[in-house]
This record gives sequence, C-alpha cells and structure tokens, in this order.
Amino acid sequence: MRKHMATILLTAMAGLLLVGCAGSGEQTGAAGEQADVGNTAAGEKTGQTSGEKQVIEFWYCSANETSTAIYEQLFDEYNSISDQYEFKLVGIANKDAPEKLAMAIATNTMPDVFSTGFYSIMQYVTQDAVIPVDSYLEEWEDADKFAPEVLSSLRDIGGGTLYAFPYAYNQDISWYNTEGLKELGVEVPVTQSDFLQLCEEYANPEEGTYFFSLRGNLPYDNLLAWLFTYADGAGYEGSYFDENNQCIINKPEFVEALDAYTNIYKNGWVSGSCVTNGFNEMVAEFGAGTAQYIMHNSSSKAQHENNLGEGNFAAAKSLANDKGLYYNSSLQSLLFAVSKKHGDDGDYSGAIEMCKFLTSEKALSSLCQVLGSVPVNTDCYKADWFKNDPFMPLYQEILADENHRSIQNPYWLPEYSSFLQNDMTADFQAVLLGEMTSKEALDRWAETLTQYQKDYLDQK
Amino acid sequence: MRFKQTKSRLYYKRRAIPYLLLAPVVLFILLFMLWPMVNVFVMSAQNYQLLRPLERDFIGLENYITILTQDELFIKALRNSFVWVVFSVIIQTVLGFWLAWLLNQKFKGRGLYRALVLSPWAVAGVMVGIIWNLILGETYGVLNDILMRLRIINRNISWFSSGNQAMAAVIIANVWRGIPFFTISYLSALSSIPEDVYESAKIDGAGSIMTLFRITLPMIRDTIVLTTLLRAIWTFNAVDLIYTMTYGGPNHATTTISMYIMSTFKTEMNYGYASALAAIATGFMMIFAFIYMRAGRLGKEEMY
Amino acid sequence: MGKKTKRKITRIICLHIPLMVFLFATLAPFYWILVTSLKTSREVFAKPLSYWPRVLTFGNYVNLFTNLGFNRYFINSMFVAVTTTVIVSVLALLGGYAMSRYRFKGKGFVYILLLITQMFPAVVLMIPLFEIMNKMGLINNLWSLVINCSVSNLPFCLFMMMGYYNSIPRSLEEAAQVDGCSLLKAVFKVLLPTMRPSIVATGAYAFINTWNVFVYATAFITDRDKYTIPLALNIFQGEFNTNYAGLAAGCVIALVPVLVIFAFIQKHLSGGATSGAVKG
Repeated sequence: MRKHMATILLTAMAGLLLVGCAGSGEQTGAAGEQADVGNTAAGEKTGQTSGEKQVIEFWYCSANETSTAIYEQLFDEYNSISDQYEFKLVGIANKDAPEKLAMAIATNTMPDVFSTGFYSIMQYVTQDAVIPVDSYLEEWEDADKFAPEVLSSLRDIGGGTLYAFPYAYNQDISWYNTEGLKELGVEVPVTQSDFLQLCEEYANPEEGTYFFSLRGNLPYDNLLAWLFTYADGAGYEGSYFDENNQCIINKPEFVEALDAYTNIYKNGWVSGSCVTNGFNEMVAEFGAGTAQYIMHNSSSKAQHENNLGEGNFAAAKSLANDKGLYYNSSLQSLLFAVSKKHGDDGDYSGAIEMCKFLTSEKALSSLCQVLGSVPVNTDCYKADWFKNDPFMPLYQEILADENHRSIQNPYWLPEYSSFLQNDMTADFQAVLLGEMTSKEALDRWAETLTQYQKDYLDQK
Repeated sequence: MRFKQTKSRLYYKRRAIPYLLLAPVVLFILLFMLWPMVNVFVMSAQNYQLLRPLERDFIGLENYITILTQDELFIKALRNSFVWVVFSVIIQTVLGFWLAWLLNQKFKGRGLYRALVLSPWAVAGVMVGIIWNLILGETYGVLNDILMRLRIINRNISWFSSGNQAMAAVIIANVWRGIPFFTISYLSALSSIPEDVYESAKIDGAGSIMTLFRITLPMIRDTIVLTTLLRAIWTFNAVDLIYTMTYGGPNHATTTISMYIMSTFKTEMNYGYASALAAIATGFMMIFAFIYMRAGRLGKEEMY
Repeated sequence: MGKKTKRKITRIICLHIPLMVFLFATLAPFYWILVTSLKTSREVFAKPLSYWPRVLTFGNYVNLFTNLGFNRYFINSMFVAVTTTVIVSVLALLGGYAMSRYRFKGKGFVYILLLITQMFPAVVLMIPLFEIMNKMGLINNLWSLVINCSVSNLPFCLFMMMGYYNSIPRSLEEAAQVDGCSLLKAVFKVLLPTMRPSIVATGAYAFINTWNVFVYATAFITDRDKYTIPLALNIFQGEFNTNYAGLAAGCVIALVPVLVIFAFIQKHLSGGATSGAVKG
C-alpha cells in the first residue's frame, strides 16, 4: 500500500510541477504588456505608476479591429508626448461589456474612463458608479465646441446634470438599396403612406423578396418614431408623460399607428421571420438584397458597406406623415463616462484629461469616419472628410430641418433599457403574431412606464 | 505474527483509500462551487436589484413566493424548458446511439469517418447558433436556397415566424451539436463489451435485433442513464444557442428557464430574483434527477 | 451466391447508407462555415447565394494572425485546455475508481455533490466566483479559467469514469490478483489498459469543453493578451456590425486542433480489449 500512496504523491507532484512550469512560462510569454499584470489583483489601483507616469485606464466597450487600431494609434501619439499620464487602452467586445462593467462595479475594480451610451448611463448613475462632469466641462476652453443639442438632450436624461462626456451621436435614418430601387424603378419613399404602398406592391413571397425588413426583436427607437409620426405626436409636448405623470403611449392615435405598422407583418408584406429578426438578421436581409429598405440609425453604415459595397446603398430621412412632419428619437449619444473609483472627493484630473483628449477634433475625426456616427465636436463639421462624407451632411440637415421633431424617450428611467429588451419586445412580437391586440400592448406599456416614472420621481 | 500486523495495517489503509482518492475532488468543488452557491442562496433572500440600490434588504422567501404564484413567464419558461430538454435529449440519444452502433462496426475508412462525424462537438456554442442562422434564415439561408433550387418547395420555409417553429429550429441546431457527445460515450461503452458475449449469443442463436435489446442495451445501461441525465441537465442550462438564434422570442416562445434567469440577471439586473429562480431550477433538477436515477436503477447493475 | 449478395445488400442498406446520411448532415454546416470564411464580406449575403466563393479570399485568415494576433489566443486556449484536461483526467481517474470499487460512508454525499454542481445555472454564480478569484489575485490570469473549467468538468468526467469502471467486471482485477498481482499492479496492468478508450474519451471531453468555453472567461480576463479564442471571436461581433466571414475564419482555425485530436484519439475510442481476458 505504500506503493499506492507513492502513486498518489507522484501524481500530486506532477501536478504541482505543471503548475509551476506553466505559471512561469505564462509570465515570460506575456508579450508587450506590463509585466506585473499576472500578479496584481484585478484592475490597476490609483496612482499605480509605470515609470513616473500615472496610468489612466480606458475601456472601450465596442471594440473591433478598426476602432482598436485607431485608439491605439491615438494613445501612442499621446503617450510619446505626455510626461504626466500614460493612457492605456482595453478593448472590450460589445457583447461582453455590460458583464465586465457589472463585475468591475461589484468588486471596485473599475477603469478610469469607459465608453457607454445614452441608453445605459442612468443605470450606472443609479449604481453610483460615475461622477457628474458639469463642473469639469465648464473649465474646458473647448466646451462651446460641443454641439448644444447633444448636451441638452443628455442633461434631460440626467435630470439636469451631465453625467458623461458625449463624443458622438447616432441619427435615426432609413437605409435603402440604390441598385435595388433602380431595378424596381421606384423612388425612395418619403411619406408613410408611400411606404406602405410600396411594401404591398413589392412583397413577393414566392421569390422571397420584399420591400422592407421589419425588426421584431428590440424594435425600440424606430418603432416609436413610426408611432409618433403616424399619430403626429398625439399631443406630445416634449414628454412621454402628461401633467398627471401618466404615460401617453396608449392614446387611440397610437393604437392606430401600431396597427398600421403591425399590419405590414400580418399582411405578409415582409418575410415571416421578421418577428424574431434582431439587428443582425434585419441587416442580413438588407445585405442579401431581399429587402430594399430598412429603418435604423447611422451606426450601421459600416455593416452595409461590408454587405453591399460602397455606393450601392444610401440614407434617407425617416418617413414623414401626411403633413410632412417626421419624428425621430432624440439624439442617441455615445459617451465617455468617468468612473467614481476614487470616491466623491477624489482627484480625477487624469481621467478628465483623457476625456478631453478623446473628444478633441483630431480624435473624433479619425473615429467617426469609421463609425458612421456624427461627432459632437463642431470643429469636425468644418473638416473635409465631414463635408465629403456621403451621409454626414444629411444628418446635419435633419437637425436643422423644421419638419423634424424630436422625441425624448424616457432613458432617465434606469429600468427603461430592460423594459425595451423584455416587455416591449415580447409584447410587440405578441401583437405581430396576433396573440395580443395593439391596444392591450400599449396599455401595458403605459401602465409599466407610468409606474417607473412614479418610482423615479419619488426617489428624487 | 507479522502476517496479522500486515493485515490490520492493510485494512486501515484500504479503508482510507477512497477518501484519499476523492479528497482533492471534493475540496476543489467545495471551494469553487459550493461556496459561491451559498452566496447565491443568500442573494435570493434579498431584494437585491442593482438598479434600486437603496432598497436592498432582506426579504426572506418573498422572491420565491412571487415566482411560484405570480410569475406567468416562469410557467411559460418551465414548459419551454421541458419541451427543449425532452425533445433534444431523446432525439440525440436515439440518433447518437445509432451512430455509435454504426461506428462500432468495421468498415473501410472508419478512422477518418469517425473524426469527421464527431466534429460538430468541436464548434463553439455561439458559432453553432450563428451558422444555423445562416442556414435556416428565411430569405438569406442556405437551406431554403437549396430546397427552392431543387423545387422541393416553392415558398421559403420560415423557421422563426412562430413560437413552435422557432423551438423546432433551435432543437435542430442543438441536436446537430449534441449527437457527437452521445456517440462518443456510447461508442466507448459499446466497445468495452467483450466479444465473447456476442459470440455466445450467436451460438445460442440470437438474431441481431434481439442481441441489441436483450444484451447490448442492458450492458451499457449505466452509461445510458448517466449520459442522458447529465446531458439533460446540461441542455436545461444551455443558453448560448437559443440566445444567438432567437433571443428567446418570439414572445418568449423559446425562453427556457435558463434564458429567463440570464435575462433577469443581466438585463433587469435583479440579482435577488435571478438567484431565487436559479435555486428553484436547481431544486427541480434535483428532484428530477433523483426520480430518473431510481427509475434507471443506476449503480445497482450486476454484471455476472 | 444468394446469401452472400443478400448479406452485402443488407450491409449497404443498414450500414453504408445511414453512414452517408449522417456524414452529410454533419458536414454540410461545416462546409458552409468553410465557404463563408473564404468569401469577402460582401459575398456572404450576396444573392444568388454562391456555394463556392466567386472570389476566393484568404484575407480573413491573414487578418486573424496579422491584425488580431490569433497565435497568442491559440496558445492561451491551448494552455487552459491542456492543463484542465490533465487535472480533470487525473482527478477523475482516481475519484472514479473510488466511487466504483468501494463502498464507503459518504459515497452518497459525493454523488449528490457532483450532481448539484452540474445543475446550477452558471450565470448567477458569476459574482461570488469573481470575488473569490479577485481575492486570490487571479483575475486576468489564465489560471482562473483553468480552475473554473476543471471544476465544471470534473463532476461529469468523474461520473464517466465511474460508469466505465462499473462496466468492467471486478472479476478482471480479481482474476489478475489470483494470478499473483498486488492490487496496484492489477489496476495498472489489467484494468487501466482496458479503460484506455474511456480515459481517452474523458480527456477529450474535458479538452473540447474547455476549448470552447467562455462563460466565465469574459468576466475573468480583461487583457487582450490573455484572451482565449472564443473571447477573441466576440470581437467580431461589434455593437453595430457582425463580421461573418471573419467569424467563420476564426471558427475554422479554432476547429483545427480539435479535429486533430479527434483524428488521433478515435483509434482509441474502441478497444474491445476485454475479450478473452477473463477465463471462462
């Protein structure tokens, strides 16, 4: 039996040996990164120095190859000049970001700055994870270069306070296939009624080609834009909630609007799988040429370039109602947030410095050319790339258009994002499948949102 | 004298062996699984919602009561989970066993063939979802394209236009992914059945079908029961495929309990509720496992 | 003559045709992955669908290694998978033997423990696990993945081994002992060789599961340098675009080692080595 013990011990030793070898091998193999990463606990502590510079960590939460390359180049340039700070980039895939941030908040290992969007900033505010930046912005010389509409829209969401620096925004827009429409011999529709007509005319289930591709999963902004446009606001006065703080979304005009939209699906004017179509699938139908027209926003430009090729698609203003008015969800800004890792009274100068750098004209120009989002720095508008871009001038035009109306979706409610993903999606799909009527769905939404608003106001 | 001493030393050492052998395993699991699970139980008794940090409080069994009495989606998800697991596992078992039996025979090119046919298992879960999306997509999918070209259908099959069809689609993808696993398990079990058993059966005049049912299957019964049980549990908890293909829709038709837990946890950020759901789900699985193992008489098999 | 042909036909119907069908059903999606990876992004959705790329593009593969540093991720994945496989195999081998061949107090407890760990939905365990890993200083360290994958795969592998041990009659070791071997020798010389296909299957299972895992990888690994392959593939799915061709290429590359392993081990998957080992 000693032999048996010997076997066990040997195995254990072999295991430990493996641990030792692999551990050291892994460290020496860590190429190009700071050597102490393998040993330190998660996230750098404040003031950790590499040499003499303070390291400022930035999490870019929509990383792909191109954006990572751009940021790395920007940071390299900055780091070679700066004596005080060293900017560090961590690129995180968009799918992983919410999880990583949640972990970081839960264990106090946040980065200095991270990128997020207007749709989730209030969630971080509620968790007390970011600092308000009004006071810092006021001290910037370039503060007036920030497009005022974006700032005011952000302040609305934040209940009067600015909680992050906007750097770009996405504009609700419709995309259409120029080649496809040419073949069909039609012009891109301008009004909703034109659009509905085209949907009916060119729905071809035998061939599997249609005019439109409807997004069933997470329809949010575009669906709301349709509803408001069709109902011409139904007395919308800048807020979802009327004087009694009741949500107005279930007014009869909206019910009619929702019926008109869901009938597109029920009449078979779009493919049957639209009910489950998420962003990817909708774009796939557009890219495959089986749908000529989709409603989305400016950020999918890169994807369409990949799928259809430059020049084969174009952007058009969202559909208007008979009066010529069209409603869009208000500016969908992308943000740099400064995490509250040093507490309420900490020194955030490094993080602020980084935000300043990242919102400069140079940085934004490189980034937004690729992203397709409109930069927030008005200096960029004077740049050549902006003027020559096929779509940017159009976005600018929309903002100044007097027929354009902006809907302030209640993103200040922390639960709104989850509402969109779960309740709104499921109910919308139920209506499409005929398992629920439009009125029921809108009543449910109104009830839920009214409750959330009440909770929100109570908390203030 | 010496003989006696050796024996008693032997005896104690012998008694200690199983504990020694299992000690590292148990320790590992206690530390990295059980401790977190305890934490989860604690969370489930709290009103722990990230978006309402001020309301975090101990509320006892309230989450559980809400789930079991008021939550419609819970019932729906339970039903979906049932369909998802039962169909996936049954189809995978039957096809997997059939394939294993085929692969147990001798034929030319068996080696290469085996490697190829086991490959779906090697694909990352999310990728399986994506590739089946590209295959089953209504207007851009390969399947429809082929069927249309061969004139087998004259209208595209829409896999995602209704709850039932969506469920069918995800089950198909899951079966494709899961068969190799069953095949490997059954193959090694089948191959450990000694040849003489078959020989004596043949001598006794048994046909191949009778051999199959009376001899082969019972001999690997333990493997069958265990494999199907664990696979059922694993399928129950799998979300990557469903999420990629249908996002749980349409209208929650493919939202299984595990999808529900994930969305409560990640999207709604209601950790307390999600933890309670997880605890309930685990409870269900334990009951089911217990019943299943009893029915399969696991471990009571006598060989000779 | 009649009987021989009849047998041949039966063989074709019962063996070869089903095999062909299985092969086709299995490989067709792979073919599609391969073809997609060789197309340009534009061609992926272009209609009419092309079954072989009109423009054969290797750019996706090149991109993986030059721009994305896939070789790094490959090594990381390898490290995690191999280490986990070794740990799990050894522990399962020992533990399975104990569970199969011995009756002892606490056996039921271990059984239940192993089962429960399989049942718990992984997603809710994330936060407490993260805290543990954080305290151990293992965040951003591949060892956190090794530990997690080992723990998740251990129960099943142990059960697998137990099942395999069970299906080999005890008489095997006993016969060897009668012939003069000590228990240990009997185990090594007679039992383990018979178990070879089982050990191989168990190891393969652990390896493949770990190779493709990313449930916790997202939470535990931040630095790009330490990404495993599935994590790296997520980069292809941006917020507003998905690079299908790139994803497909990444997927193909990730498949290669697994297929190699399959080719290697499939030989060992069936041994049938027990024939004649037991007298009588």
